[in-house]
This record gives sequence, structure tokens and C-alpha cells, in this order.
Amino acid sequence: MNIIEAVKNIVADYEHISDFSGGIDIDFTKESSGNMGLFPTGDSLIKKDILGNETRRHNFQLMATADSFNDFDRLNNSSWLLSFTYYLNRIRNFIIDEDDEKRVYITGITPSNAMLYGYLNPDAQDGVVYQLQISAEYKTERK
Amino acid sequence: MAHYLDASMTETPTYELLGADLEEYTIEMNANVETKQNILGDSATYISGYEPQASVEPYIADKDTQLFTRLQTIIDERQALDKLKSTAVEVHLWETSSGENTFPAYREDVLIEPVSYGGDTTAYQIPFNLHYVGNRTKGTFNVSTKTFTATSVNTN
Repeated sequence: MNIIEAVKNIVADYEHISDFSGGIDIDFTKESSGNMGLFPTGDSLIKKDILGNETRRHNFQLMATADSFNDFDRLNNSSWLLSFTYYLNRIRNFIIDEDDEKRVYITGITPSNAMLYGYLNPDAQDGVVYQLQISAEYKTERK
Repeated sequence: MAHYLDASMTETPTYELLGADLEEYTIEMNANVETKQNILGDSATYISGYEPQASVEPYIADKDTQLFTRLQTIIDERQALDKLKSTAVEVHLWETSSGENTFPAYREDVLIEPVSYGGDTTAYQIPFNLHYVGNRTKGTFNVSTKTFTATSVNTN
């Protein structure tokens, strides 16, 4: 498993993920309400110690489509994003890969900019798109 | 170069590799430099010795390691003097191996100086300094068994 698959699994394991019954796609979001797309936006090396262990960061953009008939819908959507943000903040030491020589694990996830991103079409009644930026920091340690 | 520190509190050494989370490990030589001027006006410069010292910061405490146990004991008991003595080994990994996983190395007596303990919300940290105090011995080090074998007497 790599960092992209790991974050997708973490998102899929959220207790209220069933609110988005359309599932989670990578680099794609279906244009109907109730779908999610996880878009990786790049990986970078943060630091490296003298043993060769690396701390890296992978950024994602999460796009989610939802109903927006009235303020009740939109409050529900934003509240969902808020509790999802709390859930991601609690992720610690999530194992991505481990064998006899190395261990790769997520040290923490920083979500940000959870907000309404746009409309599926000019008429907001057909649904809207929310975004959440996710920054996942992970370490590769030799044993 | 690899650096190992004896973390045991008994006569049998237990060498642990230094370097996790350390982006840099530098031994400052701290040479004792003296300059004298004779009656002819000529200057002569002498280096009479060294006081090597290295900083291990950050050190992220790992309760499953012997080094953490040693450091925490020093802190808990406010140990001083001989109780801070240990040995450190520098392994020359770039030199030709003299056997399987065995490389030329130097062992030297050190004093462990805890600088502080605690830290922020990320981890419990115990940064410390190592003061190299002599009795430097040439030998070999097996990186698999983590054992040092002396091949010559004290080079001081």
C-alpha cells in the first residue's frame, strides 16, 4: 500500500462516510450528489536523518458533491465536513507498509480549507461541490 | 560513519545506533590552541589537545530502547560524576570490511550530559550532549552483533 491508498482507506473508514453513498474515486468525481473524489496533488521530502529515515508530506484535495436545496442541507454539509476534519486530526501512527527492513506510517494528517467550492451547474438546486485540502505527513524508518 | 553509544548500566556494553530523527551529528573538536611569541617577535602556534563534544538533539524518547532507560535513570536520580560515564564507538563504514559486517572503528570514553527533558505535544524528548573524555582505542565493530573488539591499546 502507498500513501494515496492509505489516505483513501482512512477516508473510507470514517463512520459517517456512508452519507456519500457514491463511493470515493481517485482523480475523479462523478457529477451527481453523494460522490467523493480524492485528488493527490504531490509529494515532498520534509527532512531526512543521518540513518536515511525520511519524513515526507503528501497533499490531497478532496472534492465531495452534495445536495443544496436549502440552508438546512448546507448546514448539514458543513457540519459533516467539520466532524470529518476532527476525525482526520486524530489519525496517528497509521501503518502504510511494514516488513523486516522498514516501516512506513502516517504520523499525522492536517485538514484545511473545508468549504463550498462550486456548483455542479449554474442552478445550485442540482447540487454543489465542497472541497477539503488534506496534508498527510508520513515517515519511512529503517529497522 | 556510524555512531554507537553504550546504553547499558552494567559491565556488558549494549551499543545503540545514534541517528534516528537526527539530521546532523557533528563532533566539535574544540581544540586547545595556544599562540606564543618569542623575544625575536616570531609567533608559534600549538594545539595541545582537544575537548570533543557532540549534541544529540532531537532525541525522541522510545521506551522500548535501553538508551531511553539509561537517560531517564540519569534524570530521575539526578546522577552525576562516574554514573554519567559510558563509551561511544565511531565506525568507519567507508573502509574495507575486515570480516562480515565488521568495520574499523574507534571507541572512546564519554560523559552523557542530559540537556533537558520534556518537549511539546509531538513527543517526549531528552536532548543530550556527549563529552568525549579520552581512552580512545582502535579496533573493529560488528554492526550486526554490535560488538567492539580492540586491536590496539589506548591511542591517547
